[in-house]
Amino acid sequence: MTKKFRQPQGVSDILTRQCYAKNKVERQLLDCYARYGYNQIDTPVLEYGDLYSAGAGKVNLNKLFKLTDYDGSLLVLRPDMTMPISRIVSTKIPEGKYRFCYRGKMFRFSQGEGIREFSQVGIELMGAKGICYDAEVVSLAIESLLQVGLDDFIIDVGHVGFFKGLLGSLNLSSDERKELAGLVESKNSIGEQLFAKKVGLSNREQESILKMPMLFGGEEVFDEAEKYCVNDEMKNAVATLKELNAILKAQGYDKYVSYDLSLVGEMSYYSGIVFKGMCEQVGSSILSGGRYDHLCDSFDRDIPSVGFAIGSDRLMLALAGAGKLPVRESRDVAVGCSEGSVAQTLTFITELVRQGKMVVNLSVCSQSEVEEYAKNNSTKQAYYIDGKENRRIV
Amino acid sequence: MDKTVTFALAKGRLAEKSAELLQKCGIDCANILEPTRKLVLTDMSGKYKFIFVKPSDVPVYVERGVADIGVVGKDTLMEEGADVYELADLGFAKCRLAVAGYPDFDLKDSRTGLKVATKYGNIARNYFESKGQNVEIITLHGSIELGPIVGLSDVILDIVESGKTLKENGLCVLEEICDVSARLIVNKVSLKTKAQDIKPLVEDIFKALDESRE
Repeated sequence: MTKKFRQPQGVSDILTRQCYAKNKVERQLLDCYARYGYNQIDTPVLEYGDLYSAGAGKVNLNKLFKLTDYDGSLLVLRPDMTMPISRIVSTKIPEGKYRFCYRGKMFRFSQGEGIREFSQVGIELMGAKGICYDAEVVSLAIESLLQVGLDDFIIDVGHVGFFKGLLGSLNLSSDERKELAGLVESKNSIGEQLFAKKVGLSNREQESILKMPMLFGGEEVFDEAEKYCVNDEMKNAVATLKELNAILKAQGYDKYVSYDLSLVGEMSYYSGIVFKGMCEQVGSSILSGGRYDHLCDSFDRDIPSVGFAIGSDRLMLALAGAGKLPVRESRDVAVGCSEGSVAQTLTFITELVRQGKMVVNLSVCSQSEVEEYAKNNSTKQAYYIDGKENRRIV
Repeated sequence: MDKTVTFALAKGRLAEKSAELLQKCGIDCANILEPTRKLVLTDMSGKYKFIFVKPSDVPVYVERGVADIGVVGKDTLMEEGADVYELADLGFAKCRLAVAGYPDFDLKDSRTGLKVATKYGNIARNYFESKGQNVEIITLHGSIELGPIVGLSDVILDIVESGKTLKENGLCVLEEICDVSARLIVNKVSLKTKAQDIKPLVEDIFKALDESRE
């Protein structure tokens, strides 16, 4: 095939049915967030590479689409919305509490099979710290998924303080910390055993680390987790999750929540609760979020925040699997006309559209073609216009 | 809640050993070992589904969630780098990853341009990179031992079980990289969305492994 017809790897076209469904679902999410007091915000797809190359929000440059500006500056296509929104809140608006929602395309450079352009819808609650805000955001994650029709999903919640607390009690180099985080994140108990031997951990330390992979499930994990807390940071993490659980339970959301103390959070900037939305039909998480209190430090601002993003392409897969994908309804009116009636037809269609009707224009054709179309597409009304009159035929 | 749990297994010894272990955990799946060309089988209760795939493809099926659980060699896992939970060392299919070549070949002597034949391109790159050694990797899909013999490469990087093939071809292990064995991997979503089914099973597997170690 010639290059003209090919598409770059990792991007895809969205044809009308799918586009209708995706747009509808994204709008439902945004409407839901708007009703809860979140205002929509938009940022450019292009950012300076600097935004992602330092501080807590640092992203591996290999994973970014890069361009060069006319002055030689490195530009990147945004891989997320959290950094741009943090940039805005840190530099453009007065101090305060803000609730934002967004939708947009994000980009990630990858070799091989990976997706390189994907859509997200999300929220950020900036400038606010405390369990009430954590609970608000997790509740909204659950409620918004319910509102788009998904009901078989789990929000899996952890707290990075549990692992960070444990790390704090161990005397490890930064490379070793990274290695251990990777092992815990993948619940790799064999790796943990080897690691413990390598760096010479005490029995109690080893036990806590080895226990982490299985510290997941319902609220019963809190009692189990408490047994392995070696300092206040770990205890506070469990206490926060317990409080969160009580609030979610009181709202009747408990069947949508599970807990995992070994969730480390794939973004290094998470500082408190972290959570992922999962659905059986989709092999990877459909929602990801958490608390990030130090992301704005790189702008010399102290703006504790919490938020999440939904991967709308994956959400579509989940909805399709559950048979809950919105379906485009048939058009209200079909209109066809004879030659020489074009002006009359277009005027008539405009009238219908101004009345709020969805119209399909079959242009110049025979009356039987219009009848046929109306029959095949279960159109409620059909008109044929032949110079003298607008004849309703269905 | 009773949900079907899908296993991805590689036909052959790994499947045999896996079935043995699952039997100990109370899953009646002896039927999966009967000779057949079917690629999808279920256990007696119908709760567990088994799909049979190429060994190196096991991580792909599990990462993408079409299989919930897989049994795969650590070597494959290291090479493919899948984003899955690696829950247990099943202790069977034990072997070593090693660099091998002619006994008189001095690995330290070839600081630049060492030619390495292997089917583990990623492992080879990471391993030699971590040692600060500049290498040329030649990817092969089988009969790796031929590399040094026909002069395609200086050394090979491969799994070594008994060392018999090496010996018969006049080669030996020059450097050991690590031990490998079969691992239990689980899809990150399945472990949570099917927690009621998978968590007890994993705990049973842990128990069975502990018993066989004692």
